[in-house]
Amino acid sequence: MLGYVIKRILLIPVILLIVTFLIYILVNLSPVDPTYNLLPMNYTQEMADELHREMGLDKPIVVQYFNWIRNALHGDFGFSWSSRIDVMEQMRPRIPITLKLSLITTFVIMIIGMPLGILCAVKQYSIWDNIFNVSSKMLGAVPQFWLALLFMLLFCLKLGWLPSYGLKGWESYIMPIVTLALPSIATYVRNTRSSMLDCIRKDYIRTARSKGAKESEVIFREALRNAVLPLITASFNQFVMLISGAVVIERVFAIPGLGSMVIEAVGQSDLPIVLACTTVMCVICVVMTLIQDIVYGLVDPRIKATFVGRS
Amino acid sequence: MKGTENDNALLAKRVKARSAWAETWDRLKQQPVAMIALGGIVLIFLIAIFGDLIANYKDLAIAQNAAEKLQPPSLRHLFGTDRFGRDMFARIVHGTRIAIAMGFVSTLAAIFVSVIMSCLAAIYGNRTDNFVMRVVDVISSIPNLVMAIAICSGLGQGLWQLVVALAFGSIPYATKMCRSVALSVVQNEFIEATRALGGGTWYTIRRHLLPNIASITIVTFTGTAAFNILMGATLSFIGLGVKAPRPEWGLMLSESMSYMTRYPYLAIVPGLAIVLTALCINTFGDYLRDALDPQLKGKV
Repeated sequence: MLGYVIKRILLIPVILLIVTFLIYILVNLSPVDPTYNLLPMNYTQEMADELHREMGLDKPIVVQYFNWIRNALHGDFGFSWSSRIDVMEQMRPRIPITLKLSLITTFVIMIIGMPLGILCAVKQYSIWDNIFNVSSKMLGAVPQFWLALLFMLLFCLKLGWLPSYGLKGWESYIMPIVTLALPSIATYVRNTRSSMLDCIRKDYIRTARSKGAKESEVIFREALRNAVLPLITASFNQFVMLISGAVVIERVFAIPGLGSMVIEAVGQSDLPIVLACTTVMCVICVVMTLIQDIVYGLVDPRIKATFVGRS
Repeated sequence: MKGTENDNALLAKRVKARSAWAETWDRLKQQPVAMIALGGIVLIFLIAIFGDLIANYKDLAIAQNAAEKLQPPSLRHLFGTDRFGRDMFARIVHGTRIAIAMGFVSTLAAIFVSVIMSCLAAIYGNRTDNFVMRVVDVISSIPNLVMAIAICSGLGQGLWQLVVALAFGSIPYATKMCRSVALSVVQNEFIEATRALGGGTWYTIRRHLLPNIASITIVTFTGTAAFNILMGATLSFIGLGVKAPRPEWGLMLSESMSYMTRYPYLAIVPGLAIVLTALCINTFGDYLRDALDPQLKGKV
């Protein structure tokens, strides 16, 4: 097991290196030249060349990439092309906001989604099951930002119950979390339901029932325990998806997180900020996937056994 | 008695002559919801094709007309007008073309690449398959939206850049889907037999592999197309996709954000257009999946 964990952890830098390289190349396809923003209006070609040399932009892109990644490893993402402020300084207060938003939402989804999913599985083909089935299909076709707009229109602007933008206290988190969670709850309910149904049809459930165990005991002790495994994976995936979902929701509710920062930066062609934000998001996602794999291996004896056997 | 025997023989002949596609269509025809959804998709395509006959693009959807700005829905302007006095109905009509470009063109490109990769992975196996899977792993470890942000900031903002970003983002999922089926198809004996009889790689792919992965490809196509329409609208909404003054639905929503308290129709109409389009494609895709291959039910 330890070998498996170490192997997975050792793979992370390799993946991150490839991923960041890919992103670096993509972002640097942009024809934007920082000299337009950084130099005074009446700059000369010599000044521009000097600045290019200073910033290392005259070197081949691969060299530029390695310089960038070396600095990035030390937490230095350069400075913003539009405001000249250090990128890390700007980014530092924003990372926890995005993380907090996604984490709380993940828990909300689990707390609400799991009981509903169990309900749908235990009472299969009941009215509840059908309602959730249809509504999750409906929600699958609704873009998240539109849901956010409608909720904002109704609860914030028409009824005035909640603040519609910014972060002023715990009330400001309600709308973003609700709009982020709603579509995901739908998929989570579906996941829980199918996972529970798989378990309920197993032989050992029939055995437990025939032994005369109470129905609640059968469901919660026998079925749920085994059904929970795939749900752990699902919740980590959920978190990764929420990080990108947060980008959009932050924009709608004007929350000063990573997402609103990167969108603003793309609009201003501020490449260092775009690179820094996308890199941080990728790191979060890759690390989350790693934790998911490890947890999954630890919890599921079957998977553990295959890896112990192999390594 | 002879008559019935003849009838049975005729029936058997007729049943035999029907292709798998015809049978799928028969199963699909019995589902009224699927037919409604299909009707919706056809309608969207018709609107996109004949959009110029319904409403003039330049005069109504693009040209600003300050005299008629922010008018509520009426007979003259079915969905009202926006803050520049542009007819919302005309903009919605012409938005279908952009939605189709985002949903169908990008997905077509992604599926094309995915099918080629899955076929190669299946036919050549081991090392090719490994390579394909590693590429897919790396791309899919970048969140969809982050990838789109990187592409849109590198290539600039516009319709074709958005289509590229969407296509690139959907390759991992489509490849995973097609590859898993292609791998299991290749293990069948008839592939071995084809090879033993001297069938070349291209012949095997064309004659045996492609027809057998067709249904999963189609199912993946519908699902991805709906997802890409939503994603494209989202990206345009946050200002990374289609540029103004093009009538993209997500962009229209973002333009009307500050006016929506007093003119809620501005926030509702384009959103409904997106939802209905995605809903039609999703619903039809679900029924199509069940009709194509009852075994796939609930798996994709």
